[in-house]
Amino acid sequence: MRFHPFGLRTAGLALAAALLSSAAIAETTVTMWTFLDPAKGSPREVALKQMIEDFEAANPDIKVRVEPQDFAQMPPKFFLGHRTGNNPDVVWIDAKNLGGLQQSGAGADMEKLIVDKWSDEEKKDFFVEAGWEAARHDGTLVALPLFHGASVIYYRKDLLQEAGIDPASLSTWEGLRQAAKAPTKDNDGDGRIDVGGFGMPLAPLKTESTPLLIGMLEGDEAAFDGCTANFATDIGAKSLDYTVDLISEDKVTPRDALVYNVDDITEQFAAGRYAIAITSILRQSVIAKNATFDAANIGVAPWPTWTGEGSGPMPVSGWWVAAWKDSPRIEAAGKFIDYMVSPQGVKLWSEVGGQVPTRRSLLEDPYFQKPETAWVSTMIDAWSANSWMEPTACNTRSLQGVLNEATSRALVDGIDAKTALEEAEAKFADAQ
Amino acid sequence: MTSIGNVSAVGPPGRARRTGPLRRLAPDEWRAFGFVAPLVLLEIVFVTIPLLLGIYYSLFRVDYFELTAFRGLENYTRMLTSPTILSALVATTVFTIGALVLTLTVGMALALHLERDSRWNVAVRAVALVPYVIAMLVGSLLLRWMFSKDAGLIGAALGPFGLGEATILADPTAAMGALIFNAVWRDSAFAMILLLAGLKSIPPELFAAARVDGAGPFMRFRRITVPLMRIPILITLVRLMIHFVNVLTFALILTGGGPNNATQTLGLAMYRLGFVEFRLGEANALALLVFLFNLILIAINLVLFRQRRGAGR
Repeated sequence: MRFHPFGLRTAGLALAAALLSSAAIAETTVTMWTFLDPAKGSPREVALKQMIEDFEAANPDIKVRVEPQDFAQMPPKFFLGHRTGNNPDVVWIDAKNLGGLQQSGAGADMEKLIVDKWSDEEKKDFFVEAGWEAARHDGTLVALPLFHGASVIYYRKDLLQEAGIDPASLSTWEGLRQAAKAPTKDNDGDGRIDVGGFGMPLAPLKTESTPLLIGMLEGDEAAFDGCTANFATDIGAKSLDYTVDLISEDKVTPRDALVYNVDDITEQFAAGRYAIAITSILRQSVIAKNATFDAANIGVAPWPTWTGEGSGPMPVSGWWVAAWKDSPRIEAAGKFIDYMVSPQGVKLWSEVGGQVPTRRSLLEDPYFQKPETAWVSTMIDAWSANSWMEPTACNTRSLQGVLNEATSRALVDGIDAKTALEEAEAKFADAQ
Repeated sequence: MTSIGNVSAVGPPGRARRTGPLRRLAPDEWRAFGFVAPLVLLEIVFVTIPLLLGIYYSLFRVDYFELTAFRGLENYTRMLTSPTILSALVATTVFTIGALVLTLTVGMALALHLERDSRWNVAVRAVALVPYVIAMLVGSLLLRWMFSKDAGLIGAALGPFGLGEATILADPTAAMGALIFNAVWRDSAFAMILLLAGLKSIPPELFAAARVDGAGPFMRFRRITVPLMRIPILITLVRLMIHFVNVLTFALILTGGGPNNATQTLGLAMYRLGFVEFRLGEANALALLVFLFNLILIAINLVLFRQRRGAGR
């Protein structure tokens, strides 16, 4: 077989042109560490996949490669990587590691990279001020909020209605106690509770906020003075006694809650075993997906107060996104982060990923006018009214664990509330 | 034999061999070193270097893997005086003794009962091995739900007897019992395998002769099985002890260390310090103290066995 010289020349030219054109739009690949895997199918993972596809379509010269990580190990690994000079371009950081990000110096200045290009209106669109400011260190903003989470009170509309309880009564701690009593049932008389009134994660590990923490934040006496805990106060003791009474006196929370973590409570609530339960708002979409009852019956309430005035302090947790300061692809990384927190990105996190939007303007979207998304407005109202952020400069990883141990000490050993809280203070101090 | 300095000629005439560190190695010896060298290298890379790094880290305050302040032995004194760690030491001791005694007893009973290679025994051995081959985490999760008061099988079984209110995992003593049960349930099969191997190595003629002499089953067990099984028992004991002192999964999954830290073992305390609170300096100090604790326990075992062997002669 012989090739015509002209044909060969043409093929060569075409190949050269193809190579040149591909070189002209040389791709930059941005690497991102997150605990989500876009190859999987949970609501947030689907949202992330779609977000990457949309971004790559709009920016054909930038590709995004996700390297899924274990969520607990990811931030420290990133801080270590900064020291060794080997890190991804983009990383997700949770509330408990924002302080670490600030101390490590690994985060790029997000204002210079992204926020300074926004209008004032766009900046003000992020309504959870505590969440925005938590990422600022010595005047430098090192991360932007992706989606906020919080421990909240979930309830079953149908079970409360059956028991003649108005969900509005959950606005006080006493109302919550009474509301939890009515639906607590042993249907077959075997001595075991088939539907519990109030599920709380009181295990020392993998836990969420409980009445003890939220209750003590309401008092005049601050629970923290810098990184020194001030738990053993009158309001602290009142909150601890209240938590213990729910188990020992009212019997609306099973004693086994002392070893239940947030995964257990979430699964049990989705399985219909609780009328009211504490878990994270970030799990709303998962609970709705796995519920063994009609998901329309899931309600979310803000934290109660002792007086019934306003709503209790709504903790701010969730995930922030940061760029590595020394990234050789910092501009491309900034572009992708900008897209993730843009109105289009936030819309995906909210409508596909089932998260509360971080931007107020999104609330005007018809999606959030539907009755089944009423919980989003509840969260936004609660955060706007009274939000609380853990002291990010301190090591707060053991915070809820030591408070749960105090509950356990008071319940199991019968020690008085203030002594238990003093022990918790000492443990918190040890961790600093 | 001729000798020149520290070089001496030993062995076949005409082949002079050095003694001591300078002697020339024979090709076989080089080959042997060649086989061992990669493993020694791996040992250095994956055990010795991390161990040395661990010792180094234990002398500092470590924030996010960064050595922020030299503390000297302060991390060690903190660990040795911490009420949480002392309570974890007590929990570990109770758990280890309970689990060790019961696992060895059940393992030995299984080994003796299933020693003969009948079809039935082979099948039962396979069934006995199931808890051991299930992933430790899955097994503990399974038991966690069984022990759960309101959702578990144990609660359902106790309900009709008026014990529906009884809680296993939320009671400190019962929770420790559940933890020990988890260990026995899983590791008895492992003990059975090691002890079965020991039993198989005892010559059957000894039992036959003892039977002829009129020795009953208990006498045969005491006078033949136990003395000849000393080494397999020691190996099983040491292996299980190291496992029980250091195991994390049982406590982490079954109880999370609760209630009231009653089931927080040293392994779990180390995990919390290192991977929940990220206090890596203190976690390394604790890890080294636990390492020494392991060594002391093994030494005690070896001494006791040597003494008993000496007394038996």
